[in-house]
Amino acid sequence: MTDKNDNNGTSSVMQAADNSPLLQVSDLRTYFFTREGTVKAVDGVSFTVRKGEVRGIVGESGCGKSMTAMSILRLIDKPGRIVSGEVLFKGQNLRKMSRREMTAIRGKHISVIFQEPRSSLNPVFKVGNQLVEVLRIHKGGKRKAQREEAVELLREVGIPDPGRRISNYPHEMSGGMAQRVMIAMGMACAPDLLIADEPTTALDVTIQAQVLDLIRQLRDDHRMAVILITHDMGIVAEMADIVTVMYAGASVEEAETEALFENPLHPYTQGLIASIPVMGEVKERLDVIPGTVPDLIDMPPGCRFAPRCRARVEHGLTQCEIEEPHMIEAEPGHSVRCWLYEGEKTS
Amino acid sequence: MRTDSASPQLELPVADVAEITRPPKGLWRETLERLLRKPSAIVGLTMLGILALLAIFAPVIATHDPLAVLLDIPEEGAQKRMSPCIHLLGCPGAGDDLVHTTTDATIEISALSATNSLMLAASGNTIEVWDTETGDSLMTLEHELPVTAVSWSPNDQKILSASGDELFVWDVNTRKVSRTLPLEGGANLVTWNADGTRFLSADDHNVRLWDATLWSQVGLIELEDERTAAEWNANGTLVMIASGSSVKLWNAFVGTEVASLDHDAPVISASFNRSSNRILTVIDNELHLWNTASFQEEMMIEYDGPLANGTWNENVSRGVGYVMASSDGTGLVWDDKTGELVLELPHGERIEALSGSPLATRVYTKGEYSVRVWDMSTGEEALSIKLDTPIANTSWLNTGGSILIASDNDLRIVKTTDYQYLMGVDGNVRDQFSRVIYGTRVSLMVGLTTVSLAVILGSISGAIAGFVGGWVDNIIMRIMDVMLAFPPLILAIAVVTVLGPGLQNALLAISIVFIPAYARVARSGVLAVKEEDYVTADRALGVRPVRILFRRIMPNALAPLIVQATLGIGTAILDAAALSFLGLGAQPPTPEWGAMLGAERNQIFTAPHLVFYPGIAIMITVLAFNLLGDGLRDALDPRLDR
Amino acid sequence: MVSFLARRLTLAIPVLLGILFVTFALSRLLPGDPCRSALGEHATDEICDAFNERYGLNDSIPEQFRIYINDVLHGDLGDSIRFGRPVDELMVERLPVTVELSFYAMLFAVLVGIPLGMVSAYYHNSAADVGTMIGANIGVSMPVFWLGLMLSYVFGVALKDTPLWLPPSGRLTAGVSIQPFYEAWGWNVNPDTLTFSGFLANINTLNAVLVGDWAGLRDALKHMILPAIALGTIPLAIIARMTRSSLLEVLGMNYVRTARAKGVRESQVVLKHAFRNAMLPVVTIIGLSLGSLLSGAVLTETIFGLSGVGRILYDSITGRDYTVVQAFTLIIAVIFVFINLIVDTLYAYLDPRIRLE
Repeated sequence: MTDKNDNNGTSSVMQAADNSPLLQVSDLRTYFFTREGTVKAVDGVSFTVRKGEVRGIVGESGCGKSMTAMSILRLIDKPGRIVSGEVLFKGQNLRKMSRREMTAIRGKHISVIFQEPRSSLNPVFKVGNQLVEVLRIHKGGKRKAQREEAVELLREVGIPDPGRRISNYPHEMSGGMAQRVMIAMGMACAPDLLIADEPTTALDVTIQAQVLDLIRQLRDDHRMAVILITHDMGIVAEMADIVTVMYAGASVEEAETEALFENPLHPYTQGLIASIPVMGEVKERLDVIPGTVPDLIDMPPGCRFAPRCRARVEHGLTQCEIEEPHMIEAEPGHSVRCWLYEGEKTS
Repeated sequence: MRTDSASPQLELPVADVAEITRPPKGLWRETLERLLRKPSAIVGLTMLGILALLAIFAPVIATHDPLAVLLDIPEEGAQKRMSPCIHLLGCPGAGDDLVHTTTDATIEISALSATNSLMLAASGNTIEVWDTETGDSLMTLEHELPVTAVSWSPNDQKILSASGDELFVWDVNTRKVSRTLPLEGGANLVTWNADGTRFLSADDHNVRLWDATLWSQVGLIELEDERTAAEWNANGTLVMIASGSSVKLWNAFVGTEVASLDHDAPVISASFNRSSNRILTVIDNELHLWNTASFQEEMMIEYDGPLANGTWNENVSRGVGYVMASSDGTGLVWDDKTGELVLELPHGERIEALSGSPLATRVYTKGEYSVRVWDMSTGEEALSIKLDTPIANTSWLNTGGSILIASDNDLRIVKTTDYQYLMGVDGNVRDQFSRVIYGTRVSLMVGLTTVSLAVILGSISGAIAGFVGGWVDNIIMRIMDVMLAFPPLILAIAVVTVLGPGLQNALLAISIVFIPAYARVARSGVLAVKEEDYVTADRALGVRPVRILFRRIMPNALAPLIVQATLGIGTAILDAAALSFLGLGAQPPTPEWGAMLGAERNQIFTAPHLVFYPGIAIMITVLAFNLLGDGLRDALDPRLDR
Repeated sequence: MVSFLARRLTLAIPVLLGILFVTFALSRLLPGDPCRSALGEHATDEICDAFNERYGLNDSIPEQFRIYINDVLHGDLGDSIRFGRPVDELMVERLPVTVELSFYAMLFAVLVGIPLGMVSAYYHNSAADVGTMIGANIGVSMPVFWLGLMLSYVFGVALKDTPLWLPPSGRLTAGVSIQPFYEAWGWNVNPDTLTFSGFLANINTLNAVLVGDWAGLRDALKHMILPAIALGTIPLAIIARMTRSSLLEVLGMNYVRTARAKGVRESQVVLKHAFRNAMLPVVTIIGLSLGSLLSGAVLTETIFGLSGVGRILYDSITGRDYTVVQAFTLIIAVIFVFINLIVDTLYAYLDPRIRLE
């Protein structure tokens, strides 16, 4: 499942160091300090994204996927704070950048598209103006040229009659249309990295496929990297080159997509994959993972998944509830955070 | 069993659904808990608790009857001061100097201005003027010759002085002489009449009457015997002059004799009472009281010693009156109606003057070196002041809480009571503090009743409009729209004017003005719940509409109504205060804050504290309800919980 | 837009009719004899008869109402019973005072309230926020008349002889007068008749600007400061609170996150993206507080000795001057309806989602 365009290097500066990661996130922790206690929304996430690669981040809702994305862009609102970790983008630590430098990165080098496209567009401005705004901030140039470019962008994301649509307000557009506008905004400055945070969740199934196709196509055309955040294993299977599975704020497994689906190591991942309904297969009931995600304030001391873990019971493991396992490379290119494998290695 | 179960089965679904959708009992507790986590709600509730306590225990907390004019209490004499004085922080007590100033030469004459805000002292060739509150010297009026007589005009604007053979009229604002009038033989007495249109000047044998608008002499009265008294009557139309054994009344406009009150012996002193309908004269050991309408003697009082310094001590509104005189070292007080001797005040030193306080609750007696203050109700000494230098002059200040004493080079204002009114006294000499405390009752009552009434009327009409719908809804809500088109206070003013001024009518008017607000809230609440499944179920089951409305719908529309009502109480209190301020609400002497403010608003420049405290009280009460309302809104609407 | 306005105007007609009826009914319900309150207690019956005839008070009530409606529709508001002058003359005289006062009060409220609310929301839960909100709570709890009196004491008396002194009453210092602009411009206008230019000339500050009388402008503005603050404080507090809660809500919206993710500078995120959305409820609240502003005007005008609409309404309600009560409440209600119309239009301008409705 490696990217086919991986070695078609062009003249861009970034292409020179093609093998060095575009984005390197290590041990990222983002906590929310609320009155009720500290919510550890992101608690030790590490991964890398290479140029042209689609990195899937998958997990149940509330597991810290979106917060990871927001932390990369440093868009965490109070009372949240990134407490530790490093985010290296093209070798530069984004956490050490000034506000101004960070503002220049957003939308130009890294852009985001969000889950709810209609509410993510400002209702009081025309979509054209919102699109032109990105161009104005990061590129400059004449107003008329910007407008033409905006029309071109809308055409590129497949909006019919873009010259007219550019004067529409967000409420005059459908969800799919609005998401295309969001994508156009994300693509406007041809960024190196696009973060797609549940880009299709709020859309109809038919529109979902179109939007995913669009993202894939743009990735291919512009050779950009994508972080695809989703809870939908199907989308991951279809889109991602490499996948990080997150559970309760931490990454629990990381592997190339094919490997992950063929041989899921973590009991949680196994549960996720088992819960996908398969066409034609008749089951009594879908396999679901028993229990719920733990309260991020009162995290269990050992493995976060331990309370819900069947494997723990089946294998009679005892460390699980006492000590947190480490992320280890159980197989080449396939890491997992589970005592099941850690024990294997040590013993 | 079968027949029994039939009806429960019909009821059961309704109860079930209602159980699920209606706020369960726990919700109210939860709401209360959430409310008690809001700082604003806690502050608001605490403030309201304190206000409620103030209202309930007002009779205990208030130091005085809020309606009583402070006449018959011994600790009279409030200084109208901005800052409340707290004893522990070193409040001046009885006998302490409030103001102490000195002059270069011995003070011959001292005088307080009509409003008591200024005082002057004449020493040698100069008159110096001070502020009585601060003791700041304001001006020095220089004459070429010694000043022999001084008088303030009734509006504090002019000072009349006699020096050598001239009269000087000084303008207090410009600090310059505005007139100089030639005066043959000089004068040892000058006095303005009550409205400042005339004044008199007198030496021992001549009394001259002057017109203070044309600045010319209008009459000259020549006396055979030495003058012992010369006084204006209360409206400034008559002059009373005592000389020899007769007291004569003269017309002040033309200088002709009106009447003569003849005595058997030389008159020692003579004076008008406050309303000038009686005259007190003293001869030998007798007091004579004359009626000025009939010019007949009404009463004669005898004493077994020589008398002097006859004077009145009366308070008309309280219906008490005394006549007083001194016999060597004893001050004597008689009832002016019965002639009965009421008090004997053992001053000791020979008494040179005695005077009743403006409210007739105290008396001071003055000897050459001492001043003593006596309580009129008990006859006991309240204060004794002894000085090393002869006392030239003394006079009461304001209502009698302090006394002005001029002695040698010193001019001082001495406090005569320990007690200080926390917030001063109002224009009708009522204790402002007690009135503010009692005002809590009125305002809380106003707030709660108006809003209850408005909520009841508003929610019923709104609920009916929302529930019935159609043309009923249309008519009711159009009426509400019309009412909302008027500025609320103007509508309230109009309604009160129709009903007639008064607190009850003001309450009614404000309730009426508030109805639309609650009607709208109730209506939208009803509309929101009307189509809910459990209501539809009720309807389908044929439950009576009234029952559905009051049992199912209203409880759900209650939360926004409660919030709106709590916030509305504050507005209601403000509007009621505004109506009272305009004279349309609570009528005097009701201790209502708005009315108190309205009554004293013209005093804002002289006694701002009388306006300050009631206003602060209104603000605190309204603030308490607003804070509670804010807290309630947040607690009932978790979406806003931040 | 035209149809939007037309629809709103049509909706206002029944309300206006209701207002006409209520003002008429209320004024007829006022107890007391208009003749005796205008001409004094000792007016003879003959004189009063003639008086009632002259003002149409002898007709039956329905007839009076019919005549009244007819007159109003023909633009005739009648003569004041007490002043013996046409009401429209009084209006040219009094309305500008209140308009000017309300304008400056609102200006004060908006210019101070919105920034305060924005700072409060942006620095949510900071000392500045808590302080502003405590201040705003106190502000809405303050009796207008008390605030007015205290202001006039502090600035008119306590600060006398300092540069901070401000005149505690009146519109202009005695002796100062500003030439009406139509005279200065050589227009031939009869100042006694109802004219728009007369109305404008009575707005002192506007007139002073028109004729370039800067000393007069200074004087007029100086007299306006205290009443405007007294009247504007409550709306200010309301606007500040509304701006805060609205901006707080908007700042949590997805589109604000989008703007930040786009690389929009923080100041632009707040001032452009969030501000316009946050202003929607604020515009509504500004419109609503214009109503309470007119209530406050009665009290403010009383305290600061301004003879405006509030003052004349109070005087004529208590003095049973039917025609003046009717005419002025009518004009206020009409102004009210139009202000609401303007607010709705502004709202539609600010929020494109409304326009299509």
